[in-house]
Amino acid sequence: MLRVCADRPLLCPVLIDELIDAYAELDEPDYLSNNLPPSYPDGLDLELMRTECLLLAHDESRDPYEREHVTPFLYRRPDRFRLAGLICPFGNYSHVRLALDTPDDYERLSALVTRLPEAYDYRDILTAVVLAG
Amino acid sequence: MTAEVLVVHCVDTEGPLGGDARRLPDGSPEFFETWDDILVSLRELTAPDQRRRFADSFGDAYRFNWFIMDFTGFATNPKCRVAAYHDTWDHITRLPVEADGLYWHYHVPPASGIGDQWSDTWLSSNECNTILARRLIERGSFPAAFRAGGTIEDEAASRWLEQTIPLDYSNRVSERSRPDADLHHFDWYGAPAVWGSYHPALGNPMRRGSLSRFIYRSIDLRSRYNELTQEHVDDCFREARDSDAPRVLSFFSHDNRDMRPETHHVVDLLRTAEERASVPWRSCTAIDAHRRYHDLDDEHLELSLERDDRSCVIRANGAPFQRTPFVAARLEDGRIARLYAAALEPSVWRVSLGGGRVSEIAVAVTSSNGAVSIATVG
Repeated sequence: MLRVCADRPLLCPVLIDELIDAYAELDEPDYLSNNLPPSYPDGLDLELMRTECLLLAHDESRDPYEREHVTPFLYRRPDRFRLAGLICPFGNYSHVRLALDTPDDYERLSALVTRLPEAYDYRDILTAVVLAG
Repeated sequence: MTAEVLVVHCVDTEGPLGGDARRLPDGSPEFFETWDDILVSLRELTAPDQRRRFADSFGDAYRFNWFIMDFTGFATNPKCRVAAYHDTWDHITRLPVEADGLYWHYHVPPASGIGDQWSDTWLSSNECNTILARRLIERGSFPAAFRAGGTIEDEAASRWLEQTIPLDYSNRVSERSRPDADLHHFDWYGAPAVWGSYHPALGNPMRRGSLSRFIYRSIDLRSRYNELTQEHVDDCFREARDSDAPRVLSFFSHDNRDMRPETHHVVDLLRTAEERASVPWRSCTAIDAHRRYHDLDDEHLELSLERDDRSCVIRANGAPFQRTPFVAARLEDGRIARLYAAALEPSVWRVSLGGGRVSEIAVAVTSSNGAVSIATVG
């Protein structure tokens, strides 16, 4: 199951493809994320997990934080679940915020989008971030 | 294929090392503290008559492989290194090194910024992008081969290298490697102990897998941790003879230690092994050894660039090693930075410039045979 949060308007299909390709190469772990550890911009993160593991989280978790944020039950238990991460191949851009939660985020993302081509992927986004200084 | 040993003498080229650097028991410096001292050693080793004295089995002059570091991206400098882009490059390229290999060595700055406190993760700094962007724009060069500083290579490093440099001579595994090695003994325990290369795995660069780059083994020529022995050298020559195929024997030195005695020593080891096994050795660049080991040609890709205010389109006449080319840009505000190209179709990419502010673009791609192609546009 692929999880994408609704506060990530710059969702990138190329990254989804890369994550799915990596899932097979990493021998199909229980949980795979490109945010483990963080390296992509905040707002381009994706999670791929086995459905049975998510159902297990639903059945067993009593922690309100884990229930609200859905997947901590998995990535907080590396002794129980086989976890894997996919790191950004261009460096660490986790300090760049691309999530949309506040009016400030909206202003910043609106300005960023004007600098992107119509059909963009995450490499165009990284370039726009670099050019903006 | 015929039996021969392809010798790759790597030099981690870092420039002078002083300040609080380790000293010998009598208090004298263990390392060369000035370029003058380094260059006395290197001028002797790179002189044509000296190289001929070290000639390989085919009578060809001895070659070195300079893996060149820029000490940049740090906030402090306790060992008084030269903290400037290209300083090491410029000193080395003024020597007679035309037949040698010129590549890249990188120590990752830690999150703290403390100089010479090497990071154990590539994620602690993006200085790697700046260094190579500046080398490409300001020196017109891009490396086909790499050696990890401190031979520290984590998964983040592996992911970055896989997108950037095809040849990696960082595998330091030996019989002395230990599973409990700490950061400063990062010794590639468990990596393939081959006289050649392997493809690493996603998730663990020390395991064989399906990634594209080639990791070669290169062990300490003479250091505090390990030393290349006659047994190592004999083993490599024997394997070449028994398989009737080439093998790669790579080892590494440092420019800021006196390389003269160890270079004489290794040539003695090689000549002894040659006599025992009746197998010739060939002094190689990292690329030359790679091509001979894998029986590859020397074809270069052709690159072309088309630029307007909004974008730069990159075309190659074949698929490079990188999934997307390395792009460096000089910006109108004076910065030099790495930009990122999106794929449009096979061997065609686009760098989106968002309306300008870029005065110069340089693009590099590498073939899997190690051939580098560079194109620039204003």
